[in-house]
Amino acid sequence: MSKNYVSRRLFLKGAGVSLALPILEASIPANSMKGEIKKPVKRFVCLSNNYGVYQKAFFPDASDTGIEYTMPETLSSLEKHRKEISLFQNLDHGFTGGHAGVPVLLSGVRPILAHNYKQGNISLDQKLAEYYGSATRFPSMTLSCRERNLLSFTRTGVQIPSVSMQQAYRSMFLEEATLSKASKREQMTRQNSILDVVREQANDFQRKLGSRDRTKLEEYFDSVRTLEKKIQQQEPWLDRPKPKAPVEEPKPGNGTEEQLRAMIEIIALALKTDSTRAITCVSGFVNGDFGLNGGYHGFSHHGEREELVSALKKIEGFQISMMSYLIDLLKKEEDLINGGSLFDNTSILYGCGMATGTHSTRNLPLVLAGGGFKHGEHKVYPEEDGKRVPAANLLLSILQSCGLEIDQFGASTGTLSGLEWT
Amino acid sequence: MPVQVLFPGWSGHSTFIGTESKEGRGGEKSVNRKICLFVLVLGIIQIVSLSILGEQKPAKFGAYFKTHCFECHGVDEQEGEVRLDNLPIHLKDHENIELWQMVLDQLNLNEMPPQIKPRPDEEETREVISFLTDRLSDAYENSKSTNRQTVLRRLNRYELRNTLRDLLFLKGADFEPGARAAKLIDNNGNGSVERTGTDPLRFFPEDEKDEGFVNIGNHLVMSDFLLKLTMDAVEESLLRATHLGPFPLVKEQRFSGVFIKGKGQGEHPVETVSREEEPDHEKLVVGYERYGRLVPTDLRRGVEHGARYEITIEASAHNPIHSWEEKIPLYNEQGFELALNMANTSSGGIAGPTSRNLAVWHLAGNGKKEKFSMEVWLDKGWTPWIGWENGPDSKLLRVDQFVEKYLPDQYFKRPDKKVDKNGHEQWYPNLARLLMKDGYHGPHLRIHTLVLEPLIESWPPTSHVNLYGTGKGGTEEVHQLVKRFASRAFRRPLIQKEIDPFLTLVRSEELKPIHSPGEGIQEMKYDVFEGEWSKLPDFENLKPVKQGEAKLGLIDLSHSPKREKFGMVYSGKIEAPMDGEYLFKMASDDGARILVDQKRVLEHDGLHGAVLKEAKIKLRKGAHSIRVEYFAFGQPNSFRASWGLREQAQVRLSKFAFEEKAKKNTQDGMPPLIRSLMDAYSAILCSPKFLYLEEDGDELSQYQIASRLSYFLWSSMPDKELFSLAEKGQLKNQDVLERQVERMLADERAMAFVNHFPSAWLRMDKLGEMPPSGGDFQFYKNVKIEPMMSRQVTRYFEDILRANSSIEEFISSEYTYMNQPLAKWIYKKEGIRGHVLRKVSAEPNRGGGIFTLPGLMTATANGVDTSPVVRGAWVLENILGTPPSPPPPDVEPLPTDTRKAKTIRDQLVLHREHAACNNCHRKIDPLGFPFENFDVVGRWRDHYKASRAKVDPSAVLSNGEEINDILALKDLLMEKKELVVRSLTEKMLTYATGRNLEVLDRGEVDRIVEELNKNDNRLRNLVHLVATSELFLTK
Repeated sequence: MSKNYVSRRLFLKGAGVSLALPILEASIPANSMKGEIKKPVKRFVCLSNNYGVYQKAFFPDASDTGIEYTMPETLSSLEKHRKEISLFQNLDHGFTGGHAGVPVLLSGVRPILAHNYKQGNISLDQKLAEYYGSATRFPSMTLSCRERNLLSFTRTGVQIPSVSMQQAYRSMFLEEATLSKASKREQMTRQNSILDVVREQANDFQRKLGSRDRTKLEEYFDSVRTLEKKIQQQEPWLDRPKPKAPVEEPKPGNGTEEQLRAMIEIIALALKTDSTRAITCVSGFVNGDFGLNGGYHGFSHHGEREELVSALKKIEGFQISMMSYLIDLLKKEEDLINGGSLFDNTSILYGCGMATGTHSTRNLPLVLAGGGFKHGEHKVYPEEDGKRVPAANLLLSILQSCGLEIDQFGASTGTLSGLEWT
Repeated sequence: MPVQVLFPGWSGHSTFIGTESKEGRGGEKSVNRKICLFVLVLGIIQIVSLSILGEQKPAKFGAYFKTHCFECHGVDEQEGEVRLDNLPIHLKDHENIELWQMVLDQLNLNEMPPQIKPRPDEEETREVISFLTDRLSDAYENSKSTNRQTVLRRLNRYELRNTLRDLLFLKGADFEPGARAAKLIDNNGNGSVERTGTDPLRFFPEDEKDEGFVNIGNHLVMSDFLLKLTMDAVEESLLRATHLGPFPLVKEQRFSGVFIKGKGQGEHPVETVSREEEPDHEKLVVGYERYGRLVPTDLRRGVEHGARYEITIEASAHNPIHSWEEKIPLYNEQGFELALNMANTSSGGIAGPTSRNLAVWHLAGNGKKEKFSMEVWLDKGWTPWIGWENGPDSKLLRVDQFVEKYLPDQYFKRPDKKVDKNGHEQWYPNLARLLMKDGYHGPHLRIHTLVLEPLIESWPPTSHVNLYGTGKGGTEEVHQLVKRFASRAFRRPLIQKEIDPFLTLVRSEELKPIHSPGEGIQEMKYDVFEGEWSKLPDFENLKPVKQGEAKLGLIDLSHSPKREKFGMVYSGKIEAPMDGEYLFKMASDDGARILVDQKRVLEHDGLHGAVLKEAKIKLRKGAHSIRVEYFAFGQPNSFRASWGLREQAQVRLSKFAFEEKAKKNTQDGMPPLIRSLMDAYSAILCSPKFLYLEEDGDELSQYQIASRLSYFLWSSMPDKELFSLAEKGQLKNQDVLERQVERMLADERAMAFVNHFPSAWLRMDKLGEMPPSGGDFQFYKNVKIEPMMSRQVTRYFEDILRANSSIEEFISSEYTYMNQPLAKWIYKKEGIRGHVLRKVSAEPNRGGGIFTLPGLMTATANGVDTSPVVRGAWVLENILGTPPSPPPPDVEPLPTDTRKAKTIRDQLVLHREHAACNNCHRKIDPLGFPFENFDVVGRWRDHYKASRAKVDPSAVLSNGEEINDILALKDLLMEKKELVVRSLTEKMLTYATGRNLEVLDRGEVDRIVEELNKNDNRLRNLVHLVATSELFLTK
């Protein structure tokens, strides 16, 4: 049989079902160690929720493709940015599992299958964080706004816990006391010398172990080596002054509305001050937002009942309007590294790894803005099985546009056809 | 892992389902031969793998493909670039598995053969689907095999926490045996989260789960991120174990008479009035919910020092028989229950998530004083509190109704707020005064005294001595300390060479002894002045308004009767332990100065906030006089001060010391010896020898068995006795093992097993992943019912374990457990009092047993809907141990247009009409329907809330048998109890060994199940059989 047919089951390829691969390669790419990064420097922001979208109000009709599509109800606030966004239809990660799809959005790899992949289920933002290494104070930011952020995974499959708006603001702009700086430096030195000793243990431990155990141990020693490097990379940042805070610390808002708006402003600030280049932000809902009574999860199981559907549309419409707001903010900001506006060099992805509240994971909601791509179209990809395009192709395209010289990411089969960058 | 060789001697490429092209198309004979081979190979997979069902291969398997597929996917045409006639017929590499899976998907989706072609026989299709599904799932199973060995296992979150506790002798609520890992919870559904605990591992992400188990070796991963968290947690733990300060000045605290000063919150009018009129004791007249929780006002911020305390309560109970029977219960039969509880005052207080019961005592009710006491460790900030566990409901004890009924001629209506504001507000207390004119006649508890006596056996505490010995330093002692510590940490004896690297972290110049002065001021005297100053006045010329002394004391502004506009002068002696340079720290609001030997050391005069000031001074060994002057302007006012040798620990001079927090995360200010030893210990605790359970070779060593036992039953390291038995080589002896299992289960650390194992067995880990919220479910977060649900399940398990009752009682029993909130909110039942779970008779409609407890009904729902599919699959997988195949990959979720008032039953009927779905769903769904009477939090319902349709819990099983409701399902499970026992056995073996079971483990499982059956399937017997099984004692 022909080998080159496109299978949805690519997860089995590459590593093979039965091989647990030792993670031998050093985790930090060479270029970030040298501190030389290709220009233009790109950033990535992902805005997400945990319950998918009400698809009927989110996607244009499948026949309504190209540049003159009718802007769907939920996306109406993006109308003014129509030329700078792309809508995709029929992209997904090719498996079912309802809520289990949520953490897969940025990797395309389910955590339980991660061992089949060389880089596990590393998420796009973490891949980027590795790429930029110590170029920014924070390699990545995993933010949450009244919701759990489940999107970020390291290459060994450890989920990065999220931080709140206040934590993000304070760590970006507030200088630590000299005393605490000194003690941090002291801790770094100390921990590095401890790691030195620990690393030396590799030899006398591995004598009698079987291959599976050795693989586990290799994972451990890889962690030791990586951590040592990260501590070294972080140290110089202790002395560098933090950027001046352009605004006062935002107050934690009452509802999600205020909170997410403030969060979007923080994201723009983080990019403006080049504090980080990879951000994910998940927002939710609290009882009382938009004058609604209930829970997000409850709404998402709408069963087409009108009051629930309209609640969902409000929540999702607001999330999209915040994407639009972020575009506004970034368009206004000059990109001090590359020239042009920040928006030109920032990919903003709105999406969710579960397509709908009814647990479908087919046809993920995905909207991409900025980042230097050629935008403006509603792109509809093949719907039939066997011809479907993995959403991981979009992830690969974004990574490549950021300068990563890789030709595969997760279950990608290539870059996303039809999405070009300028 | 190596690919499992299914058929030795065969190379994959020579065996195809169809013919090779050179043999020509449709060679009947050859095709058949190949097909036979295919079946044969698949047949072998079946033998080697775990397939229990062993469904027979379809008779016309090969012919099916030939007839329906090869025309378009054969030698001549390769429609869609897919060719099947040369598809290799084994499932030994991922490419083939992938291709066969694709074939199966197409069949499942009913997309192939295309509609325009002749339809295959439905029965044949079903057989082929079923056969391929099973074989493929076996192949996936095999691909996960670890050759029946436990892969090097990292300690998971709670194992690491418990091990640190036992290794470092840490105490307190954060380290309670069986406590779950701290996590973030959203208590009120408003998105603001709080952590359930403050243990050193609170920032760790969740461990990797495999079917609910969080201790499977090959699944647990490490990363630089986790390693960094581990390093930080280890440092914090070591700091918690380190106590540089002198013997803390913890005094006995004695409360008697009225405990609550001023106006307490949420007090019942009767209690408030009784405080005014009978100041010799506290009176508890109502039970548990909002009132009747008693904490002395002076303990509202908890105890000042973490220590072991003996708590003694003197109480009496009165009027068990009374004349108010119509309103509140009699207590002559049920007796009075006095509850001692504790809670963290800085985390929600006595109504918060940390509140927990310590003891329930019974009082005779004869009015005589009785004394009760218990010892308990209280962390700083924790407080004990007293409750009347079975007191009357506060709803019943309404003074207005009492007076109206029993003193009708004295009763008066509540005055109008506008006319008589005071009378309006004082209405309840005034009525209470009437009711209590000649004493309170209702049943009540009187609390006479509450005494907290600190029990500090030795100082510094064990945790400190364990790490730093005598504190004198010196090479020999330091080496001994490190060696002993490493040996306990690595859970085995070690050789000197292994310790040397850690000793390199202890540099010789850092082996100097530790010196630290005593805490507080000796022979302390104080003068209090009153006046308004903006800088320090000359106190010598002022007349104090109050004077006092303390033999050994701490500066405490509450010595002043006034809160503002006052001055204080403290004088006394401090003792320098050696000649050297000393550092003084002070932060005062407002002005203050410290003088030593009449010399000004530190001054910060004027009006200002509390800013830290430091100064150094050289002192000779011996006593020195100290004088501290201070004045306060407007509130707030504070004074903190400490001193100590430079580069060594600071000890406090004032009651309030410097933020403990700062100390928690840093080694700043620690003596060099402590710091360098800490580095060595940190390195030991970050070593893989500590973080992983080392098991080499096929046979486990004595020490490895000790660890297996302790991590099985305690989720922690072995104790002294296990180590000593390992040293003597006795841990393979059956009798010794059995005795150890008994001993270990009796130990409080076994609560780890009681909590964590049922969680994995019954997927309690899902509880809380999707909590219901809003509307009808608001109580879920308000009442904080989730932890109670969880405790209800583990309590059920615990009691069966303790009593060594039969596993059958998990299926069905006459009893269950409830406390007041569970009874009220879930069971809609009155009359159960207090928060402690009580054994009560089961509700007739749902029956007893563990499987229908609300916690499990909530865990198997998603907070919004219930699904018979999910609960049915749960029964198959977790209760019967016969998991259904996963759904085919592209199956879309059920259409969910519920406007048409379709019930879940109607939808599933449609679902099962599809051949691809029917095969599994005819087994799954019927086991789920009987649970439909339970809503998403396990409340009983007869109608669905949204659609108002009647719940139909009946079902027809795949064998045609009908069951009507949940009770019938329980009967059915009872008939299949062998499966339930087997499943529980497999789950427990998985938990105990930290690996998934494989086909060849079946023999040992059979043996255990058989043994167990000889003796009524008793739960503790199962623990014994697991702990002595061959599986448990080999890698």
